[in-house]
Order: sequence, then C-alpha cells, then structure tokens
Amino acid sequence: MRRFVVAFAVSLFVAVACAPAPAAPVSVADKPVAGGRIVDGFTSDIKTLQPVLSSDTASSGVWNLIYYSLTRNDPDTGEVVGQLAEKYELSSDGLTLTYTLRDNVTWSDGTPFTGEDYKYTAEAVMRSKKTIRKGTFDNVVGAKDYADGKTDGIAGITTGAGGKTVTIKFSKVFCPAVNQMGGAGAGGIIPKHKFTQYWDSKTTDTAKNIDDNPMNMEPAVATGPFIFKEYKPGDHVTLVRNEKFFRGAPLISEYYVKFYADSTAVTNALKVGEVTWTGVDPKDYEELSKLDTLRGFRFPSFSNGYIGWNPSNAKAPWLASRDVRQALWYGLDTKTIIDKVLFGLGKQVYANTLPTMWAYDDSGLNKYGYDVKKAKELLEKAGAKMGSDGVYRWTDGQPIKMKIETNSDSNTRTTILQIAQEQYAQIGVKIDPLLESFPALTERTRFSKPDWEGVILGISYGTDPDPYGVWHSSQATATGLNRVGWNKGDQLITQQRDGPDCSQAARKRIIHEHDVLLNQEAPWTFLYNADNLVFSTKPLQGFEPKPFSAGSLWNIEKWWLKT
Amino acid sequence: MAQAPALPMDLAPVERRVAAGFWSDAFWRLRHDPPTVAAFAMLLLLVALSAGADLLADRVFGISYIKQDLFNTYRKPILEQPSWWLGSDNLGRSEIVRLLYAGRVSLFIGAFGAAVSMTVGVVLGISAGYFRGWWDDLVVWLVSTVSSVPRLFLLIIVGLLFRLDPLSLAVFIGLLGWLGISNLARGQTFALREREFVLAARTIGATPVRVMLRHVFPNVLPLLIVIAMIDVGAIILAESGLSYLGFGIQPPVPSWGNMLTGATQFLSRAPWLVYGPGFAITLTILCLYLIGDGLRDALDPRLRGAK
Amino acid sequence: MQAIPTLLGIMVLTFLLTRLSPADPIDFMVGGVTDITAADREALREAYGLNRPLPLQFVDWAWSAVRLDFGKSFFSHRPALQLIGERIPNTLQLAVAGLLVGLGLGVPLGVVAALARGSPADHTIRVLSVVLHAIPDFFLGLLFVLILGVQLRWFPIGSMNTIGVDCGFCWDRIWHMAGPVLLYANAGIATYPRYLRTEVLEILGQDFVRTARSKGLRERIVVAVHVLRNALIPVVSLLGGILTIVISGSVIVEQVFNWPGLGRLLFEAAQNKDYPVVQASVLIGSALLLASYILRDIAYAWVDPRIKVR
Repeated sequence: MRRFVVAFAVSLFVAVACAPAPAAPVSVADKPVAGGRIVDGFTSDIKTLQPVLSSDTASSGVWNLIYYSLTRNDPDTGEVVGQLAEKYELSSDGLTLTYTLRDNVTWSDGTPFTGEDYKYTAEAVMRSKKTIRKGTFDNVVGAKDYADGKTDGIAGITTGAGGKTVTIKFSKVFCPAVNQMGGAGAGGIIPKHKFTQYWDSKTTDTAKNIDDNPMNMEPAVATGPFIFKEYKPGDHVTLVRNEKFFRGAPLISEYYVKFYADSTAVTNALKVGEVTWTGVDPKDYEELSKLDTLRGFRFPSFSNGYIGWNPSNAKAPWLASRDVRQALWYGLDTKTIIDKVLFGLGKQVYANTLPTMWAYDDSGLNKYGYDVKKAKELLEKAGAKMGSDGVYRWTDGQPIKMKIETNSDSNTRTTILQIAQEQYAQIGVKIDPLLESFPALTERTRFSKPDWEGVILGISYGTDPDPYGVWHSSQATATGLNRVGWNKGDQLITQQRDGPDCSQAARKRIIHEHDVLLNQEAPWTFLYNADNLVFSTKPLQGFEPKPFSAGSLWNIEKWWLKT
Repeated sequence: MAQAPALPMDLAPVERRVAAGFWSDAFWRLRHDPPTVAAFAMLLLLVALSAGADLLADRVFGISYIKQDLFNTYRKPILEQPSWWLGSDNLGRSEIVRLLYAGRVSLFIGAFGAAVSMTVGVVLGISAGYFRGWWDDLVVWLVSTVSSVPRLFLLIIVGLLFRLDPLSLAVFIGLLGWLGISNLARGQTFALREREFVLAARTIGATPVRVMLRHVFPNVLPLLIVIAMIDVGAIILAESGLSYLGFGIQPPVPSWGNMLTGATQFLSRAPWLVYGPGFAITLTILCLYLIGDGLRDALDPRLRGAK
Repeated sequence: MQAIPTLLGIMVLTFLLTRLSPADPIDFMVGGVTDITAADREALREAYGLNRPLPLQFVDWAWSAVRLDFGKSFFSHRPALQLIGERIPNTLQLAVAGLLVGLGLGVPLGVVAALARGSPADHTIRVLSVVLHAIPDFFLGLLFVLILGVQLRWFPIGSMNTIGVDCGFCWDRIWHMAGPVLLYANAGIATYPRYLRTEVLEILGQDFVRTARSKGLRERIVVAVHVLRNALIPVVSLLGGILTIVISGSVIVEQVFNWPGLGRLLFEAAQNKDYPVVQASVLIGSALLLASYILRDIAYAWVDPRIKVR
C-alpha cells in the first residue's frame, strides 16, 4: 500500500511542472470590427465612482473611463493638450487660465457639456469633507471663501460664451496650473445636471456636500468612452459603449472590470484568455513573455517604491536622526533588490523626481551604494552602541528594534520586506515584519497615527513633477500622503508652484534643490521606479501602450477584438 | 481543513481495572502489523530530522535557515551541494534546511495543539460525565456553542486580532479541537461511573479526583491516543490552511504550511519548491493516520474480527 | 429546543472576540474624512454607543441582531445583512452540491471496498481515501486550477459563471461548480469509505448475513437492504463533522476559486477590519451550521429507530 501511496503522490506533484500551454488560433482578417467585450483584471475592489472622493487606483481605473477632464497629456510627449477642451490659454502674467471647450461635446444623454459642469466639480471638491484634492485650488481666487461658506460659488471660476469657455483666476501664480486644473481637482468632471438633485452648489451651507449620495456609486451619464451599467460588489463592474463619445463611439461594446482574489488569479485568467489585458508583477513577466497567446509590453511608469520612516514615533526615537536614516539607506542593497525582485524591470531612484519626468536630474545626488561598514559607522556616530546580541543599543539603552510593514497582497513588497529584515540584521538593526491588507495599511500609516515605524509603499504620480501632493506640510493630515510629516521643503515647493517664473528650466532647478534635500535628509529610503508591465491577449488590436498615456487608454475607442 | 470527525462508534469500555494484560496484548498486536510499524518508523525519522535541524544545519549543510543569498535564487536541486539538495527559494535560502526547521515548527504546533485539545477535552469530558448536574449542563452548552461556530471563521478572527507565534497558534487551534474527545470521554464516563469498581472506590472514600484519575481515565486512554494521532494531523492541516490565507506563521519563520503557500506562488519559475513541503505534510499525516488506525485495531479487539 | 442557549452562546462568543480588538472602530468608520476633531469623535462614540459598558453594548448589539440589523459595513457602507444575503445562496449552492457529491462518491466507494475486501480495488480505495485526506485542501484546489484549468483548459479557473452569462443553475454554472464541489467532496471521499467499510464489514460478518447467503437470492436482497440501512447510521452521524468542514472550509475554497460566497466575504472583511460584517458573517455562519446540525439530528432519528428526537 505504501508503494501506491508514494506513486500517487509523486505523480500528482510531477504533473504540475510539465505540460505547456496550448496556442490560441489567430485568424487573418485585418479590418476593425465593432463589438465584443474587453475584460480587465483588478486585484482590489473599487471604493467609489465619484472622482471627488477617489484616492485609490482601483476606483480611478474605472471612473477614468466615464468622466473625462478638459485636458490630457499627449501620449508621446507628455505635453498638456486639449481633450474635452479644444484649447487653453494661460495669460502672460500666469494669473488667468482660459479653457475653450470643443463644439460637439455632450454627455451620454445628449445634454451639452459646458463650463458649468467644470465649476460645479470644483465647488464639489471645495465643500467635500472627504476629498484629498482641495490643494489644487489653493491659489484660485475665492476658493477658500467658498469652502468656508462665505460665498455661494467660487468667485475665481467663471464661465462665458454660453458655457463654452471656463476662466480661472489665480491670486498668485500657480505653476502646475496647466497640468492640474484640467480635471477640476477631481481628475474627472462630473455632470452638474445629474448631481444637482442631491446637492446644489449654490449654497453657503457647508454642512451639505456631495459626499453621500447613491450616484457616487452609480454614474448616470458619461463624457468618457464608456457609460456605467452595473456594479456587483466584490465581483465586477460593467461599462457599455458611449455612442456619443466625442472622439467617436468606441468599437468595443462592453468594458468589463473583474475583481480577482490576488495577482496569481489574474495571471491565470490572462493565460486562459478570461482577461483581455492587465498589468502584471515583475515575477511573472518572463514566464508570460514566453507564451505565444499573449503580447507583452514594457514601458516606463510614473510610480515608485519606497520605505517611509516615521520620525515622530516615541518608541523609535532613532528615526528622528538623519544619520540613522542614512545608515538605513546604506544598509540596504537596493541595486540587487531591483535585479532580483524586480528582475531588472525598473530603475533605482534617489529622490522624489522620477527618471520619466522632465524635471529629472540626478547630478549631485548621493547614490547610497550598499555599504554595511558605512551604515554601522553612521549608527555609531549617532550614538548607538553595539550590544552583545548583535543589535545596536540606542542612546537611551533601548535596542534598535522596529516594525516595518507593507501590504500582504504585493509579492514584490513582501519580498523586499524579508530582504530588508535580513540585511538590516547585518547592520545591527532588528526588524519585525508586519503584513496588512492594503486599505488597512494605508490607514495605519498616516501621519497622525502613532503606531507605525517603517512602511514599504509606493506612490503613483501624475506627469507633473510638482512634489506638493506628497511633500508639502499641508499634506501631513489624517488622510494625506505626507505620512512622515516632512516640512523642510515648503519654501522650495511653494516657490516652484507659485512662480512667478513657471518655465521648465526654473522649476527644474528648484525641484532639483528639493530633491537634493530629500536625498540628504532621507525621510524615505527611495527604492525604485518600476516599469509598467502590461500583457494583452492576441485578439486585442489597436492596443498600443505609450509612456504618457495614463494606463494605455489613450486610444481605447480604437481598440477592437479580432475573432 | 479536512479534520476527521469523531469516531462514530463507542469503543466498548474495558471491563476491569486496567490489567497488565491489556496493554501488552495491544503492544503485541501493534508490533505485528507491518503498515503501522513502518509508519511509526517513518514518523520517528521525520521527528528526529526536525529535532536535529540545528545539528544538521551546522554539520551537514553549513548554512542557516534565514541566510539569504540573492545571487542564487531559484536554484534547481543538485547533488553536489548539500544545501541545494532541494534547491533554493526566491531569496536564495536553502530549501532543505528550511524544510527541517519548518518541520520543527509544524510538528510542534501539531503535537502541542493536540496536547492542549486532549487535556481540555479529557478534563471537561470526564468531569462532566462524573459530576453531572449543572456542571454537565454547562459543559454540554459550551460544546454545542463552540461546535456551531465554523472552526476557520473563529481562527480568522483570532488571527486578525493577534500576531501568532507557533506557541499561541498551537494553543488557539488546540482550544478549538477538544469537542470530539470531550464528548467521547463524557460518554465513557457515564457508562463507567455505575460500574462496580468505580462504586467500590467511592464507597471506600476515594476522592472524586482520585476516582476519575485512577479508574475512569485509564479506560479513556486508548481512545485518547487514537484520536490524538488524528488530531495532530488535523492541526498541521489547519495550520497550512491558515498560512494560505495569510494568517498562519509569518515568514521568515518557516512552517510547512507557509513554505507550501510560498512555493505555489513561484510554481512556474521553480516547481521543485512544492515537493519538499508538500511531501512532508502528506507523508506526516499519512503516517499519523496509519498509526492511528493500527492503534485502534490493536486496542479494540472487537474490530479485529471485522478486519 | 436546546438550540436557543447555544445561539446565545454563539452571540456572546462572536461579540467578545471582535470587541477584543485593540483598534478603535471609530477610526475605520470615519476613514476618509479629512477634518474630524476630537469632539466629533466623542459624538460618534456616543451615537454608536461605544462608550457604554460592555455588557450593555452586547445587549444593544444582540437586540439588533435578533431583528436582523447588523449595521453597515465600514468599507462599503452597505448594510451587512444585505452583503451576506447576496452571498449566502452562492455558498449554499456549493455546500449542498459538495455534500451530495461527497456522499454519492464516498458511500459507494466504502461499500465496494467492503464487498471486495482484500482485492486491488479495496486497496486502491483505501489508499486514495487516506492520501486525499493528507493533502492540504488549498493545495489540491490550486493544483486543480493550475492543471485542469490553466494548462488543460478543461475547467474554468474560477468564478460562478462565464463573463456575461447570467444564469442560476444551468450548464455554465455547473461547469464552474465542478472545481469547488470536488474540493468539498474531497472531505467526504476522505472520510466515508473508511468508516463505511468497517461498518459494512462488521455487519457482513454477522450470522444472519451468512445464513441469508446460503438461503438464496430473495433472502440476500432483504439482507442487503438491511445492511445498507444500518450502514447509513454512521453516515449520518459523520455528517456533522463534514458540515463543519464544508462551512468552515468555504473560506479557503471560495478564495481559491474566486467564488463570491460567505467564506470569502468573511475573509475580505477580516482583512479590511470591517467589524460589522465580520460579526454578522460569523453569527450567520454559525446559525447555518446549527440549523444543519438540527436537520442532521432529525435525519439520524429517522434512520435509527432506536433514537428518539427530543
């Protein structure tokens, strides 16, 4: 009987390693055909379909297709060009920005899209209690007054020519204006004529806002290529073709977003053709590239990975010391991590600005090459003394022991955490790893929270290199992204934001100064800028990822499925 | 979580004070049952290997279980290098050394958890059966309450609230598994408490504890041993299920469960990584099952006839 | 019946466990609001009764629970009951099918093993049953998805229906149920053959059977029926254990196969620290289990005339 047992068990395990994937048939027709469904695989459920409230990539991945903004980045050059707006013009003093809308743009129910929608969206942002986008309107005349309930509208935003133009007046020069104003702060413009039944923006009552209404989960109309059809929580979101889309109705009739348990499930779905296109983990890139049923794309991204250190945790007083933070940077072999965990599919970064941004300049930045000896020297310089158990003791006698946490569903990050634990042990720092779900993690590691010490996370940036959203002291709040409470860069940040010199050269210089500061102070151990890895099944045609194209969706109306 | 349900039949209570004959009789039967002996030997080997993990790591393999080697990740198994007999994992650690340490963790959790289960179950079961009355009612209520909550649901809540190291994990899983033995012990105690030898002991003034310990417990013992074997297996499986969900033993501490889960994520890149933990778990549970079977056959003459 | 105190016990257990958490539930309730002051927090605590003594809080919660009001999910702000209501039919569909398939495969296998005692068939069945028991179910499930799903494409890799198809109990659904149902049935296939085999062998060994054999065909049929009837008793009593496995194991099975059921809801809620949903799921899951135990007891009484229902 034992023989049977062993044989059975062995055959079960052996079967796993073998058997290649069968190839999918491909036919010959080349003329685009209409119809079909595209399936996109997400590993996280959406939280909202209201751009004003949205702060996670899953939600924006969906409403991005429903609510468009006035401008977008040219897919090839990254320059800001018109989308729902035909053109825009910034006055020479930088204080007036005028958008002229396109002629033929309507909502999917036929109602004309006007500047009133833009103004309504901006006002929704300013009165919302849950948004993180108010910062966009810092320099806009009348925005703060409106938020405080002193007026019944944002004075600095006016519409003209029957709603065909939108003029924004700034009290001070706002350098990223052209890049950031197009989406009215929210990133997508919402329909006034639909939302107004829930909230009338013309009011001074600050208790009312757009935060709680059913249409936040069920968009009624769209300016984007797809219209919302249904949402089954935990399962999928269905969008259908918007016939009135201003660039022409999409060829695809249905866009289906499906939620999977984890990234392995998504890659499995990709392999069997259940999912049409999706981003993948670096660890799967090589294997998927070998399949001839899929097409792989690799291009630079606007996101990074970092380890954030909390300097205000009383239980880890050493994190307030610059020398210690630098030691932590020297003590991590980032280059090998990128080679082995990202499989070389990314670049190392040493400060906030990414290599893909026009303001990138790594001259004068400390590259913090892996150096255990130097790390220990710095720790000792800061006052640490080596204990008998191989762990340093801080000046107060406590062992240098702390938690680093990250989200359990990211294979990349959990692996980096394990590597960090091992490598920091070499420099006499004891690390306790902690894994959480992503929503819980982001809440646990806010600026105001006392319990966290180190966190491995990433930021997804827009194309403009303005560090405001992450590094300005105003963003150190219960919901903001400035988790470590960085406040040394305010002056520089404001300078590149408020001008008056908004030229790229000037801003680049100032941003670089800020980068140098970040690089020296090391509030984060900056890790990598990972490439975007996207795969699509062979039938998908017209799919052409470009670096500045916000998820490859720049020509989604031209995608079609070859059958 | 394929935890075996409690045995459906009553082992007939042995009719006298445990006489010398019963145990040596059983032992004889055990010795002459090849599958059981083989299983026992295999299990002993596994335990020995795991216990000797430190020694082996030092002498034979020359590498510790947490030592990472990022330049040698996903190595295929090769014979020349002992530490790579089962290859290396995604962080370049020695798979075989980790497997040995993981054996320690998993076997410990299984054994300790089963010990907790058995202790709680026996104490509650026998005392409930002996004292009856309100205590019995309480125990029965406790049993029906806990058995109505799906085991994994409870474990998830616990895993959610606390960071679990092997010891506390073993205790928690053990605390959920005592129901079966408790019921059986209680049933046995009911039958036994009216027997002459128990009544005799009570007449001469033996304290309840003494009666329970010296007269009731030995008769429950055979059943206990059999169930314990199955329980250890069930706990090891439960631990691996928890690891899959992310609530079990956290890396870098290796357990067979979390090694298996980890290996499944790299299946396309390094399929050989599942063999070690997969085989280890399956083999251990097989052995435990066979031993349990053999023990049951040896200890209950009534069944021998049917086999 | 005695179910009521048990139900109460479950409620106490569930409540206590979730309140044991060190995290402040208010944090999660207001997650996302940017400018909440300490005064606002106090007001919220008042409103939700979180500053009343624990026993009173329990009474509050228990009272609403009885009226089936479990509060709103912290994550999606929809009523917990609604979330559970959406998912329970999915879990039940799998559970019932899994039980039936487990019975349908496990029982005959056990009988066959007993009847063909000593033959290769007997050995194979016994080996199979033990080996299947020893392999962790998530692993078995993952292998199923990988080999039969991804590589061979014989079965879908998960979900309830193919995308776009929206039918309840049709061929598409059955095809999608194959994987998870087999995984559930595994519990049955691992347990029934062994116990049934022993039972049947025992009955076969008894005198009246031997007599029947010598007496002829009609007699043997009567005996066969008698044998089966008696063999059913352990089947029903084993049902309790299997039910626990099925409902408890739903967490793993539904995760592996991407099935939107109760187990998966609990798992996601636990990850998101969504207490109302966690509490409600555990309570309703337990109630379900309790209900099935009661059904089993009734079935037991029906099968074994010696037992009386209380």
